[in-house]
Amino acid sequence: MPDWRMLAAARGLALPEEDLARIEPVLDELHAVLAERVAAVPLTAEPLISFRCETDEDAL
Amino acid sequence: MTIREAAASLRTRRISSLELTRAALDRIARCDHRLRAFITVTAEEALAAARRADEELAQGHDRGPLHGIPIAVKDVFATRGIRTTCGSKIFADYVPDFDAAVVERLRAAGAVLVGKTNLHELAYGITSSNPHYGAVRNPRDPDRVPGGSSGGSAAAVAAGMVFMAMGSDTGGSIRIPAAWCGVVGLKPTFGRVSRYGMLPLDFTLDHAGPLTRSVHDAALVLNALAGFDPRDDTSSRHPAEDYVPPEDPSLDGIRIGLPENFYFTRVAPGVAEAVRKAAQRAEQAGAGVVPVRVPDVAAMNQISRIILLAEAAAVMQPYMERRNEIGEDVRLLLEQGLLLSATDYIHAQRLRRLMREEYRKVWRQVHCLLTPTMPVSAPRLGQTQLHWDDGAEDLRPGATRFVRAINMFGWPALSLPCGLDAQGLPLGAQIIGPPFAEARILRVAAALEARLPRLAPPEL
Repeated sequence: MPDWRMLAAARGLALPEEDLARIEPVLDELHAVLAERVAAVPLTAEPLISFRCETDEDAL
Repeated sequence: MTIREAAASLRTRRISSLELTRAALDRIARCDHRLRAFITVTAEEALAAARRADEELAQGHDRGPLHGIPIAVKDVFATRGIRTTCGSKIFADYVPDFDAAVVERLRAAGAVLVGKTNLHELAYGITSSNPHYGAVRNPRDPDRVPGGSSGGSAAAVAAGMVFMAMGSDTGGSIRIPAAWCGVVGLKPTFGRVSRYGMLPLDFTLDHAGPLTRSVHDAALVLNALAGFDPRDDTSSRHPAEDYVPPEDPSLDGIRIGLPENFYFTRVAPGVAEAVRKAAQRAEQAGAGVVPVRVPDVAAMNQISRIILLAEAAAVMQPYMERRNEIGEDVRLLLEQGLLLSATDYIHAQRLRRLMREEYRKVWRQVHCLLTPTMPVSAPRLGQTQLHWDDGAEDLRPGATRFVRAINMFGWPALSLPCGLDAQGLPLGAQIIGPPFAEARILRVAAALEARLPRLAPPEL
């Protein structure tokens, strides 16, 4: 499981201790579900964020 | 009174838009100090717009069924010259110089905007207990929350202040308050209604849609809103259609799936019974109701939460230096999002694709799903947990179990009042369909509405 406190410090977020104490269990739970599921994701599965390269009508 | 009834009265001159608008403003003046449904009331502009509507109708210039009808929009939709706070102290003084697409379309349809409704701060929560603009109260029981984040919109419609109010829905924010306040809430397909000018909570989960007092009214509003908008990258070119269902429609040939897993577990007494009764009414209207198994919606909810946490944190990251001006519950969510990694987010988006493929198989078996909207009726103000025989769960993830996942797939869904629990609080049935099946969903909802008892207006 990621060390959320270390991550917060490394990102310079300066989160208050009481916030971190409440955040950690929630993120642990979410991350556990994610990790379990990701293990079964096929290598070729692409994220569902569609990027389309379209013609540029203003291009010369 | 519904939009349809008011529109008919306007055309026979039994009532004027000015009278309707004055009545709406009077109702707001009398009730809103208790309900806190509005952040801004635009009385002078509304009265001027109502006079114009009456003049146009008298001259035979009829803009359609919304012409002259008092409405409101959630305070996430930009309004030219009217502050748009997003329920946040950070945006308390933001006055846009343009109208959001839905505001443009509603104005073009002749609707009269009477104000901007209160909401959960930044549209990021389900109680609408806003620390800056007041806790919205449920008109059915002011000691209870209306739901959220579009709580002010639902309360305003349920309390008879306006005929329709626009909401936004990222993880249930139209359907939750619709169910808890006893009104109709429609979340159209992602891309069906333009999000141009809607302050974002999340880039890939936000939807805009109406809350109304009837299914027919929701269809009338969608007719005015649906269509492609080049200013919104996610707007769909799928052709819009006439969404208004026929009177008491037949459901012959419609197969409705009643989930046999997930959607009927951990629900309060009365919830399952009310939805199963609605299924019986669908059968009476000619539908086939069949049991279906749905995939792991609990995991889908978790993945959806990761996407929301990350995207909402990205939206608000530039403002996090002012975190002390953000309410505690929302601040904690934003901080969670800031700690997720890019890899976590991308994995969640990969799972989103796989989960959609898994869930969409249900559309090969049925035309729509019928589920409870919420596992419980409206909680009390300040309530933070749901209690079950086998343990407790936090209100937010617990209450959004049945509404959250489908926002990941962009599917349309509608919440319809389907009865009252033992405490006299409204319960909602949710109809979910495949992409762009709004007309079908509205048809099913209209058939159920015609066969279910109408809720009496709340006593205020």
